[in-house]
Amino acid sequence: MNTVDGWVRGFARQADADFRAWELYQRHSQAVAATCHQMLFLQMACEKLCKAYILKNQIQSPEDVQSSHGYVKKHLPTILKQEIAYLKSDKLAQMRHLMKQFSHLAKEIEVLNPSMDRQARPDNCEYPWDAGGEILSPLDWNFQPLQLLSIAGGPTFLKLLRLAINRIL
Amino acid sequence: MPNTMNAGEYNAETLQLAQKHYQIEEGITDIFHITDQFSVEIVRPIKLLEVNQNTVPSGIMPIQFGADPASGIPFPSVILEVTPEEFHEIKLGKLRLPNGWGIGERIPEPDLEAGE
Repeated sequence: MNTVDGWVRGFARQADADFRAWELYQRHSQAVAATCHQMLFLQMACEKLCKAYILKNQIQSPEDVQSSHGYVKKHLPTILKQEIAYLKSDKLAQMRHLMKQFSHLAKEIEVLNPSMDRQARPDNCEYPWDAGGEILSPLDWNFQPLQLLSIAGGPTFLKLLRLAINRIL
Repeated sequence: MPNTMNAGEYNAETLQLAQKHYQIEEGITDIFHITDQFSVEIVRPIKLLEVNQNTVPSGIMPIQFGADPASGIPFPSVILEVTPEEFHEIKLGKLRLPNGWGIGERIPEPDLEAGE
């Protein structure tokens, strides 16, 4: 295995492990101290998956991708779009409304990381933040992605995410 | 031109993959084949440049996918998504593609009314 393959596999394995933690929390909700922990694993899984796919092309270096926690908003919809293309479906156009939802979810998942958009979106799944003088905590926050994942399209998003992780492992 | 497979098959698969993407993502306005004069892979991936109104700017950051013959995608693929503004910058040479890459032919949208 060359160095690039090693990095791709390394990020893919971490994404898989993070997403398995999410999946276990889904099945055993009593194991979760707080919802923010569940969201943290989802955000980390998505970020590492995107980094694995970027590194696979051997244009960006590991140092490049490790300098940011971004990539989810931009690349996760592309990865999921390709997973839909892999499906043997003759109703691809009907997936358009799902892609819109996936893009919105990707945007919301990206800002779960506290370093992404502190000014416009201080809410995150790790640290307390100041909301106009009131200190809010992730422990008490209602995370929008969790709500989006529970409505139509959410289960498909999670299924495609799992397929994308398995594919690159 | 791919070097280990039938060129006709390669071109047909390129068209099919691009047209699937047109159908799935409504923000895509144009898809171009990316040419690569330095490609040395045994099986050349299908390379597509997709202009997507719904994506966000990130510069030139393509991502690569494996082949999945069971799903009807027999070749690896590389997808480079850019915003319309980024595409304009690529055409002006302000944003540069990786060495050896060039913008090839535009791939047409599927004719959905014809039942494709």
